[in-house]
Amino acid sequence: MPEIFHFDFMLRAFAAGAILAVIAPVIGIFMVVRRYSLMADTLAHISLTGVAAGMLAGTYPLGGALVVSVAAAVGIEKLRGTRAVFGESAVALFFWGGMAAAVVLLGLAGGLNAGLFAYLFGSISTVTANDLRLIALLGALMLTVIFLLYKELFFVSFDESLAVANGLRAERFNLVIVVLAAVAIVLAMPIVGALLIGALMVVPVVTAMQFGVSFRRTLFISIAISLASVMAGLVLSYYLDIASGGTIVITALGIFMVVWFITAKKR
Amino acid sequence: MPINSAYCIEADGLTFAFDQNIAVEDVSFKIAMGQYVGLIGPNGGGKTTLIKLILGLLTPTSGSIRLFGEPARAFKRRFLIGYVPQSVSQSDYYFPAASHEIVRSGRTARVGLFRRFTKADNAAIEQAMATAGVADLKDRLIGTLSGGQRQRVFIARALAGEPQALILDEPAVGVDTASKERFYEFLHDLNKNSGITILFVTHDLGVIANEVETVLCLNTRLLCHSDPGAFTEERLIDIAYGGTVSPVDHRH
Repeated sequence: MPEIFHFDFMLRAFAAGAILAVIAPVIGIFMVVRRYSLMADTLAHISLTGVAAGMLAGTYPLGGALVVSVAAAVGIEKLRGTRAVFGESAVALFFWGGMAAAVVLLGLAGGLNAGLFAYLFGSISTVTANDLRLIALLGALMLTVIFLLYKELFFVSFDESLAVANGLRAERFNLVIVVLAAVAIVLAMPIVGALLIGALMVVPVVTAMQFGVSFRRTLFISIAISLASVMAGLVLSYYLDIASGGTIVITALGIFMVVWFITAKKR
Repeated sequence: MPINSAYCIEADGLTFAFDQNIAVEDVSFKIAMGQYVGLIGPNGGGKTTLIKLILGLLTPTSGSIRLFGEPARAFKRRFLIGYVPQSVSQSDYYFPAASHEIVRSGRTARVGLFRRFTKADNAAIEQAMATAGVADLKDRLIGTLSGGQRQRVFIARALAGEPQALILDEPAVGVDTASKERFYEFLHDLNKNSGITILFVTHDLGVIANEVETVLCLNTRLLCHSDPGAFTEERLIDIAYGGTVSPVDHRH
């Protein structure tokens, strides 16, 4: 067995990475087609506030991040629903608010430290046994929700007004998507990092879309691309001793470029 | 649950105002089950607003709508009204969805929350694709279809829910003349053979004169609600587009 599998932290990173690699594009595909791509980044920045608060209070940072991220997701959807501001502006207000609060809290906590750096950029050694349990549990829950609501989520994503005309409560399904995204982002933070998590949700989906196949196939291809990126990224991160988030996203973008080049002939 | 009402759509004193603008004012009409109705009127005359009110996408400022005899607000089985939007909008051009997935989505509400598609559902979906003539397009992505093909996919989607009524918004826009004729034949057959109530918005006054049983002309207020035989094409144009003409003068 190669040395890489001898370490518990690596095994945890691989297990957590595999779960996240499946979840990220499954939720990401709905974000991409609904033009919510940057929402993931916003929620990630906001959840840093939760991490900072958790560190300040000396509690489990991901717990705080989960609360803040989900609350922000609900808040953005509500603000968007009032039509008081553009949808994009609603997202931006939360983005800055989250970042500002995180900076203030970190100042109180004594500035940037190594722990925070790991949450920003991801690290293979960050995933604790607690993290893995949380990722496995919530990951299974999220996949179940998507499986059960797949036909409604597809319908609302493709044609929201027809879905409403047919009696579906579209705003509830929109809320489901953003809340799931909020949870997935927090779970992915230890490995991919807050600054790059959006990429894991979006890049594999955008890559899969280049093949021009059905929604279902796009979904399965994006999962495969995501899994390949995360696994290759983790291995590279280990051997080259570099931040895992960066290597995962660079791998995903590399796959995008190859696919884009191959499928360009079809266009 | 069988439908006992003689009327598919009933509007009573329907008004919709947005800020200070009145889009639809005091509109009343009844569409019987199985009727074939055309809705005409100038741009900005409230046609789309009226459709949205019927579909429940807008809530009336005053007045009421009944669907299949029940108050629209309380009506749960909205999927009984199939809706075919204009095919000219290309906002979903890049959406990664195959035609069969889009048609299937039209049955979502009928299947219901947390339920899976059964064999009967899949059969109805295939039937809808066959009826609309899109069975051979099932694996094509929506963005790769022509205007006419998209139109038929959207009709198949509406039919997949096995509706009692079909509302079509400018169905012939972006469709060439030959396909247009086949399309109206298709609607006619659907109405006659399947007994589906049809309400469609159109600018095509020739179609109004030749095809429909009843015509609604809307310019904020309902200017007429009559059988098209009562009108020559010129009079329809007068009524719907000439603001100075009193509709009462043209009534037989």
